[in-house]
Amino acid sequence: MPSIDLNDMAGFFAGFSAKFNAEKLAAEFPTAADKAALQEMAAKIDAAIKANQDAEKTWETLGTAKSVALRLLKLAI
Amino acid sequence: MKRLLLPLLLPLLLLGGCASIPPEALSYSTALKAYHKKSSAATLLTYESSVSATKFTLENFKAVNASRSNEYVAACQEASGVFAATQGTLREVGELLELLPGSPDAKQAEIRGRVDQKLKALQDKLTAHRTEFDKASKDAQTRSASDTTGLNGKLQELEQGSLKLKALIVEGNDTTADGLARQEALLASYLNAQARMKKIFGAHLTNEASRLTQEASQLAGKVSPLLSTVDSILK
Repeated sequence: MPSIDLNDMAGFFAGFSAKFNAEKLAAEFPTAADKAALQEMAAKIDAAIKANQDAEKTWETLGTAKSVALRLLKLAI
Repeated sequence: MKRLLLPLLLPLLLLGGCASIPPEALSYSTALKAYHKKSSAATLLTYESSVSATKFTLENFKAVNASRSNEYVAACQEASGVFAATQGTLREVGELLELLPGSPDAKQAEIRGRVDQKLKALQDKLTAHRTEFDKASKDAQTRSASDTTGLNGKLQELEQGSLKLKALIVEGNDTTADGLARQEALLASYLNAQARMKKIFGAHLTNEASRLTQEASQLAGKVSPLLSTVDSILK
């Protein structure tokens, strides 16, 4: 009888899936809930950034007002 | 002038508001760090799995290739043996047939009988081998088709899985980068607002400090002769 008796590759397929299982690996990543929670917290940081930027603009305006006030005072004195 | 400035600046201070790093910044940093840690660990695991699967595939391919090459060589050697045996039988038949001319009838009948016997045995042997080789050929075709189907399935699984994992890695990186940029923006906005505020009050206070130092120096100048006088009286 010919010796041709190709070895079964089913073992390889099963072994490969055990080594690289995309679904299993995907489950290791942060979930949508993790990301949503982070984004929810990020909204507070965004609000603080906005508040700081507003404060910066206000101080800029006040700086100008101060200069004007000082010049007026000097004139008055 | 100082008295006039203070009432002017006090309401401005209230209007201006203060730059701040909110308490949420710490919990946000902690959450971002945890997110990044999880995402990085998963990315690393994906990389390690990919390498492991690639190594496993190549090792398996090497083993299958070696095994099938050996099987192919063995089958060819067996076929060669069958051809050699056939050749030997045909040579024997030829030699017997050469004896036919000039042989007595009884001898010729015996020779023909032996020739028929050898040819029949050869035919049976070749039929059996042909059946076996045909079966092996069909088995190989079936196995090859099955393997190709299986490999195509794994290839598709790998492509789709890789795309999904790549998207997750990109998403993780983008989220972390976005979070870091947000922290940077928060710090920058805080420092910018602080700098603006200091520009107003800082300059004023510096001027005041300079004036006070000057006055203290003048006062010390005036007090010094007085102290000398007191000192000389005490002596």
